[in-house]
Amino acid sequence: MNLFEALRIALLDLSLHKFRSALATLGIILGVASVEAMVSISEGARQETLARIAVLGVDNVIVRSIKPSQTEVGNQNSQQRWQAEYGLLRRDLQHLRQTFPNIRYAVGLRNTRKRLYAANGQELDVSIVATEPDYLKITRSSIPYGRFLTMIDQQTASQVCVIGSGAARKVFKYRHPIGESVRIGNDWYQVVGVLENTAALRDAGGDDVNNFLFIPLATAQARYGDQSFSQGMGTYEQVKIQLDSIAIQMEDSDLVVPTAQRLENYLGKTHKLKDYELLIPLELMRQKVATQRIWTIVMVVIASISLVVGGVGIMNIMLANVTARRKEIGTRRALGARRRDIIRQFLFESATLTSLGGVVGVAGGYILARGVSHYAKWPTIVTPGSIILSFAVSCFVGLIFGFWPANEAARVSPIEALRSD
Amino acid sequence: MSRALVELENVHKFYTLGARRLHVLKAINLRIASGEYVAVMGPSGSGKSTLLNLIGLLDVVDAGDYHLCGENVAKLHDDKLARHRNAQIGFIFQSFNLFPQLDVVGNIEVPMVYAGVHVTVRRKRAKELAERVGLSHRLNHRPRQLSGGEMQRTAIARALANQPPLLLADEPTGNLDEKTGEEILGLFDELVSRGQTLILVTHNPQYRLRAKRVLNMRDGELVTADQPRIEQRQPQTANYESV
Repeated sequence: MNLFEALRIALLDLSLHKFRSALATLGIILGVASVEAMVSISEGARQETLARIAVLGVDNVIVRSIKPSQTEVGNQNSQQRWQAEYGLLRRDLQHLRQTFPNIRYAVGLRNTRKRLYAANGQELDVSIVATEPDYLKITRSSIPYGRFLTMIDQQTASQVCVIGSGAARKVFKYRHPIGESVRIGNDWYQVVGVLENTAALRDAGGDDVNNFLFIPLATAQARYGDQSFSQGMGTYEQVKIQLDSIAIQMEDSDLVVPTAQRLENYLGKTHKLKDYELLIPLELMRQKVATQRIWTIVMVVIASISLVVGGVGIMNIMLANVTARRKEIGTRRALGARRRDIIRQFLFESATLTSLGGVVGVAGGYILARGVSHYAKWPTIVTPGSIILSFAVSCFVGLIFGFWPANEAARVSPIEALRSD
Repeated sequence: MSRALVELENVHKFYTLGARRLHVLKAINLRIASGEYVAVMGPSGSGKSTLLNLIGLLDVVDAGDYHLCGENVAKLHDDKLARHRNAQIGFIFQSFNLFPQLDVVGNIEVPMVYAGVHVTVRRKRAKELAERVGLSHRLNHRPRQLSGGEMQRTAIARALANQPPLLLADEPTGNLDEKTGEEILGLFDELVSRGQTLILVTHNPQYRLRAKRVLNMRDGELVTADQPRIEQRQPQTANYESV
């Protein structure tokens, strides 16, 4: 008996009790739908996380200066006055550039901690970051107007700046930013370009480059030095930092991990305190993926419980079927059906039932996932794999939970079965 | 000596009912040749159904030997028994035992499905069989759309599907009115006249007249095997011979 024929027979058998069969399949439908929806939701979340991290650049390594813990820095006096010197050094960047192979770009960044004023004297809430020309390429940003900082700016320590597109809107409203001037402390800077980054770097835990103002690193160093102050409520902090961070782009993402390792070794040897941290987007992505996978497994397992409940429903209905159709079983045995023919018939019936439930469930899960996307604004992705998996699982549930009833059917003695009504 | 179609030698059958052990069949010796029309008669509980189950390979003997078509089938495995039932025996039941989900053709096809006959071949043959029992106008009807007589005709066509050498009928007219019952018996007569071996269990004494040989059972024993008296055959049965 071929598959199509067996399917036809199974459907005919099931059509004897359409309503009862449909009710029994409801559990499978809901189970499959919830598994499918869960897989789609977590796949959507996974893809979004990956996309967020990917914009940081999977071939990038970022080293940040961090303040060592207080006990390590020590020398806090009674006037609550701070003087700390820590962080990455220009020497570190130089060493990196000279001795590390396969680095495409490496730039230093300095957060000047200065305030920015507009030409009319209004204070502006824009961070001022000093950096080098290659920063543009590391962040994969573009320059819609004007130009970015150049090596000549660096060499001449010129007073020019490039403004992020978000900051430009905030500061200049509808005016064209190029050629405008802004003031940092007592120094005037001419805007020579606008930087735009379409990737949502801030969401990924990166710098919000669109809201920065960039000045040449050499200019910042020459004019403001390494010292910076910050005053708070009754506290006064003085820090001395050469570079706030170093951004590196490798030639190949495969080199990211070994390079980070080597960098960590070098910094560990040359820095007395642990005043730096490495941020490796690739590693971050791997961790996120791992976390996400666990999360997916947990969700799918929970959703699978309903599938098991559905399976028990199928087992129940199939047992009822077997009892109700004892006479048919006896007749089939008398006409020459072997036990395995009976088992096959009932297994096929339960698998057909759950597969039908699976088809409806997959459709339901798809609608559910779409609904979640629409109302909760969560991204969901229904992959062909999840559809095939849901369908296969529903078929499998039918075979598993149908086996006992089918076996019961085959165990009935033909004489007993023929005698029953 | 050539083997008979059915050959029971000193067959015993026991049933355990609670603590009691019932001796249902006691030393049955029976030979039924090919082409015979045998009626098994006897009161309820005399063991005639058990005998039919044994002959039909639905049950196995506890002692003794059973040869069917010359092969010893007394101690066969379950699957082998099924194979033999499928190929060599056609069952006809009192309550027809049709499959409600299948139409007439589908019902007739079932034994051929288990015999592994290809779908186009078996469908063609099922239609031929339905026509042979006079159901050519009911091919795609479901059992519940059929009359009792039509249902039993379907069942007979189904029993004939694999051209088994032996037909077994257990009270085949028990659920039919007298006229329809006569029609069915007429169909049997026709089959027998073409050489079909038929064993019929009944306790309706009327039918003993049509069988060529009657086996009487009492308390698990075969008491007599008498010949029907031809002169007592009811004259009107001739009207149904043409069915």
